Amino acid sequence: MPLQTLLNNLRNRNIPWPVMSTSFKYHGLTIGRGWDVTVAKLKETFESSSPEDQQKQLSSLSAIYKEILLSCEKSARFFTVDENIVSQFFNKIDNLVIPDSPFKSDYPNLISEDELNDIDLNIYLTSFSSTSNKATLIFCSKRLTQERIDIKATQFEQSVQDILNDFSEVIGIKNHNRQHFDIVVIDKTSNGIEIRLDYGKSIPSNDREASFRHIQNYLQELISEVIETEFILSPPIDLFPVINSLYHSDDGRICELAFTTETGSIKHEKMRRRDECLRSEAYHKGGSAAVDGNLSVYKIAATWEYTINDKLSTQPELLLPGVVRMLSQTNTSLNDVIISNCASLNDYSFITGKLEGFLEQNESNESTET
Amino acid sequence: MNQMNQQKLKDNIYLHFEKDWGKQSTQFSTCVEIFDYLSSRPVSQLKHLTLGSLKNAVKNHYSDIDMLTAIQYLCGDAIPVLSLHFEFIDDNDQSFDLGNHEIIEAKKEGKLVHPGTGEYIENYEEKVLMYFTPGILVKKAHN
Repeated sequence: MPLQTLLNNLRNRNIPWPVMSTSFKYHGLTIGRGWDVTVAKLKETFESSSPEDQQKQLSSLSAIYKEILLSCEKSARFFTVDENIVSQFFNKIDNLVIPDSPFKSDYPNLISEDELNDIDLNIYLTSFSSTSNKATLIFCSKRLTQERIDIKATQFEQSVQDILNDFSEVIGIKNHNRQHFDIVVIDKTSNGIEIRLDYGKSIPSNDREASFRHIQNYLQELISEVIETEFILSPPIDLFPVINSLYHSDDGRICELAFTTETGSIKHEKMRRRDECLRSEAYHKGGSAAVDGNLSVYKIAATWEYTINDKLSTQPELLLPGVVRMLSQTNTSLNDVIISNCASLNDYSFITGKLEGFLEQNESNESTET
Repeated sequence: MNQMNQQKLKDNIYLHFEKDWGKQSTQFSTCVEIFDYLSSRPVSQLKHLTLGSLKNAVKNHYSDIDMLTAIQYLCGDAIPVLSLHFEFIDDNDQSFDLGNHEIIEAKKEGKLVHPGTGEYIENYEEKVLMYFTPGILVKKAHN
């Protein structure tokens, strides 16, 4: 893949810059302050390198891009599947056919803007890989997104400039299509299916639900075709109980918290300092003590320091985006989490491992109580 | 530091204010009130002070100009009562600490690299804000 294409692919994904720069550093690539300077430096290094070194640089960028497609800025939901279904799927995996589509022919590159505008809103299986225990399916689709854009008065004719000059800042909301890479992992060891929705954090919750349902429906059809039997996914695993377990543990650093109190208030707290935890913040501790610790937490985000090597680390974040009505409803369920700031599958799996740990802990507490 | 030494340090700081501003000046009383407030609070609860929180601390007695003059002085090397920091706050109210070199580069280039996205932002001035933490003298006065 040419250097410019790889750089465009990476830059177009709006990956958090701290994640991007850590990945570049990990692969020994030269970086500067921000994208513009980094792109210029990478091109300069590339042009002055031997063909062998150029190949190494392209391989590094390609490896970064593939890891990011699988793990960066995702919203995830998890399902338990019958052991027989999973076995049948792995036995008949050769039945899985990747249909022809522009997404398939250009994968892993982004398709052109014109192609994206022309394509329908269906989901396309674009790639898959499997080991004896794990199958990873990559689906592509287009989704409409909105972007805030600074509008400069100088872009317009004089009469418009005269009007816009009265404003210190003019912001426009631009609608545009974006190519999404959603991931499905079918795990034979745990008999589980994980769906990772791309750009999870920036999709409004209603659209997120609709997008998950769209993938689930398509996945049901696909698995049914592979195993030649009708397959229906059970409801996703309820992640709401993890909120309380995470809050009451001393694991990770809580950076966002929303809760109600029995004195009638709803609180939403955010920690702006990267090295501090809300659990131990003076205001939070004092407030909590004043109501004897009776807080009903419905939304929580925590980060962990994930060490890559002795010089590099990332701060992957887990957000359990509950809403206040979940505290009062019966049969409520938090179906998805948002996992961000991951540079690779390693820190992504570190976070899903934490989630599994809390779920197992809840299960074991429940069985002890009964 | 024992209580006697702490008092001695405070007296020296007040003397410094008096020498630099004169005891009858508004600046003298602004500096004394800010310093007294900082000395009265646990350092662990002074991790993010803003112009607004310092104005509240001195009961909004002084104008913004008087406050900014006092704060600029208190951030100086001669009498380090406050330590100055910069943060960038984006349109989603997410804040990012900025290093001095990032501010210097932004001023030189007329645009700031967004710490979260790595992309340039041109109208950055209104989104870059000051905040303060206790300076060395306040920490000494607490010990």
